[in-house]
Amino acid sequence: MTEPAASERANRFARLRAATDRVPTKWFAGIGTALFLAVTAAFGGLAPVAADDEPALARLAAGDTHTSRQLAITVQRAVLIDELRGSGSFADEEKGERLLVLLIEMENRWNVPLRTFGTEGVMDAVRLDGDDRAATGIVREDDQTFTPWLQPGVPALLVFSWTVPGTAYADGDELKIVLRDSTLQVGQLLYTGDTWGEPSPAAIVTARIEDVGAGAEESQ
Amino acid sequence: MRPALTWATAVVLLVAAWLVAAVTPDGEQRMADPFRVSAEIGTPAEGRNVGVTIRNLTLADRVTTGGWFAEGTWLVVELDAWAVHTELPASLGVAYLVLGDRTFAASERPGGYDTDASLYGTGLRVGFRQSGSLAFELPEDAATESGTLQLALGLTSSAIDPEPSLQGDSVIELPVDLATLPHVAERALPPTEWAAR
Repeated sequence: MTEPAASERANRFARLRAATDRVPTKWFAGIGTALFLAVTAAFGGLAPVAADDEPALARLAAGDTHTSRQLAITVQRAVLIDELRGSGSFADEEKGERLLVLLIEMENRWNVPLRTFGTEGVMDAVRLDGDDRAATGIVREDDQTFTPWLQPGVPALLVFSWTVPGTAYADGDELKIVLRDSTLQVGQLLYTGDTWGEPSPAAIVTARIEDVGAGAEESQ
Repeated sequence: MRPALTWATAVVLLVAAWLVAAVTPDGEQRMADPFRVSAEIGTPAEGRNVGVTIRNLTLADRVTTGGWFAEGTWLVVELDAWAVHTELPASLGVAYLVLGDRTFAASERPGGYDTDASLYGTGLRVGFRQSGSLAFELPEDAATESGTLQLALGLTSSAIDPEPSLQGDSVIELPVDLATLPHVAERALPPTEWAAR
């Protein structure tokens, strides 16, 4: 009883096989793509992929304050200058270098003092757009204390400076400054103590560069 | 060894380990607790290798030394300090003011201008007392708070968290109520000198 059925099924299978054998293997890719597109079309078609999944950065102007859990940062001025004594940055005149100086008010919003150097995130909080270097000098504006400590709740006016090629920036340019927020990392096991790390961009400040030349006004 | 003896030994050791763990306060959390030494104004207080006599505390709106000045809210602590056993290492590297959940460190600014203007970070001597001051730069709203002044030798400097800086050594502590302190408009920081005994 089962034999005729089996042979019928075998027959059908042989015919199917003969039919598929006539389809050139090269067509498979095309058929697959067509099927995929057809199914996609059935579900609404192809949509453009979101170009950027990261949250949009806050856009700030000079004088605006960016506040994170760690710091409140207000970029006040961007100045291009030949040299600035006490800034901690030295421009090599022979190489055509100058200094790009940012006047930034910073307040420590954490509950213990923060250093402006090292890995606590303060020096990592400010970057020039397109320049991955930390500032080559960080000093207080009033008494030029080099890489000062920031005490909790006590704002300080700081001078961040970078040595830059003299041709890279010009008077009146719109300078983009990237402010980055760090994350608090709590020490565990072998390491004790809290620290700030993993800075990631949080805001973009746009400031107009003032070229003060040799900087008679600034160099006191 | 007989199996029974082996088992008995194991049980005794386990019970002993449990006892040690049980009587250790807060387990490992407090293994490196500092040794706290209470201080009073005008009375010498000595820890393992640091001794101080805190003379007076003043709040000032402006502090000066030489050509340097700074405005804001400052706590000026006048004190004598010395090392007890050894001068290597012995510097007054840890000076905290703890107010509520905030910790302030003595300011490096006066000493940055003139090393004689601050005892912060100054090397201490055995047998010779130095008198001078520590200045704390505070937010305005801190002037009414109360808390604790902590002084210790600076042995670790890598951690920003104050807790590790105080681990395992003496800390001289003085309760401070800022609201009751004299508040002056200007204070000239006293120079660091050899103290009269």
